Amino acid sequence: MGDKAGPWQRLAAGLRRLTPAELAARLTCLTLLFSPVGDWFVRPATMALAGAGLLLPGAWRSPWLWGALALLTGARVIADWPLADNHAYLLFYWCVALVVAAALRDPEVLARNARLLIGLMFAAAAWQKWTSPDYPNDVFFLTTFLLDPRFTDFTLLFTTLTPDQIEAGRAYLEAPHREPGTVPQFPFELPASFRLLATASTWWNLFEQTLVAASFLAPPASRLGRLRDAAMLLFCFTIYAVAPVPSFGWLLLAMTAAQGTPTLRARLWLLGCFAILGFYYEVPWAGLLLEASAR
Amino acid sequence: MPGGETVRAGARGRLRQVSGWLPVLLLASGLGVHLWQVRAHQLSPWLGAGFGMFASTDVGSVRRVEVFAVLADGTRYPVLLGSPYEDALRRARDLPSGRELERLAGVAREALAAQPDIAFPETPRHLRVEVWRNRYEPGSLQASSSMIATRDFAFDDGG
Repeated sequence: MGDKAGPWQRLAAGLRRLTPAELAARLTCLTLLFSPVGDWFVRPATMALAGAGLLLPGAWRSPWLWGALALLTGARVIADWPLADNHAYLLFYWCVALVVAAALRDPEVLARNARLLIGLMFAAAAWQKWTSPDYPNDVFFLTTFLLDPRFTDFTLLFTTLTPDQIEAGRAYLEAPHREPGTVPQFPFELPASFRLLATASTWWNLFEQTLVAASFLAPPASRLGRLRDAAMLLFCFTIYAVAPVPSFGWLLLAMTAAQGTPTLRARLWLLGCFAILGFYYEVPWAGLLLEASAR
Repeated sequence: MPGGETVRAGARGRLRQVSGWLPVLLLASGLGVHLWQVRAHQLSPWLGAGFGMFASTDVGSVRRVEVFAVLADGTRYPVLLGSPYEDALRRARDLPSGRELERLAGVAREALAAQPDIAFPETPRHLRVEVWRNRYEPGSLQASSSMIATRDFAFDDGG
């Protein structure tokens, strides 16, 4: 039977055999290889350790491997404080979770830490948004879509703004405005499509991040708790299509794997999402659609 | 000695229990430090382990750091710091604590010392570091800038 199995059956059987902890550890190593972290003195070591974790049999369960990675990722956030991106801190906490679980030989500890780290991190992110003086009133997205060049294609695709307007808006928003009597007005009337995009983005983000936080912090067997994997997939499929930070998404998916439902279907969704984050990052889909629509 | 064994086993069990919560304790500590730095030292909400990314307009690109050499009569001369000083500028911009502003003043002194052709009419009295940020009115996006940190440092401090 084994010899007659096609590649699909072999892949399915291999995926079924992986424990949640092994899948999570391997996805973490892949994340570190796809998106190496730190400066020149941290990067080669993290890549070598991640490669060892993937290639050497059983290395993924070594507390020494994860201990070394925790030291390196921890040294990086301390050296960069406070300038490191938020997922650098999460990567460090996650490596510590992997060390602890490997040292205690307790995959339940890893699953619990994965749930709590994701839940608390999203609770903090959602709370920062709900309480921010310029988030629920749309000011954040109205300014960010103009200021951050990573969102320019997306903004041009879904609104009636022109590249010149975005440029003028960015120059106005970044300029110093120190004398209230002489401050010029915003250089153009904000179109309804732009306001609508900002409002939709604001409330979608608030909804998604609150849902992820609530579902990961709820008791795992509760109705809300059982939604957690789907909530995370929805978050990753939608947010990372626009925000080009796949390393954050890959890390979240690796953590989700540690505590998720170990069914084949759930794992295929997770791996599909892992792959599509790479697609979002490598393929400038908004720019290509924009070009196609201009023809 | 069975009693000693029991105590040691109990201690090991407690250590196992506590170490299982270490990642969550680290996250909570990081969050606490972030909140304290935001309140006490105007850390940008995007930074410092608080997971406040994409939540606030208070981001580096709308903050501005300015350094001036100030003469006794109050005349100010801007000190322009180039890319070799980018790290100090960025740290002072994103976390304008006394320590980071002092570090920036130190590199500004070094930069001035390295360019003896820059001549002031008299020896400046002090260096002033100012950090500004932009805010935007809901609806109109009318912008205004406000100073979020400033500090003077004696010009010859630190030699």
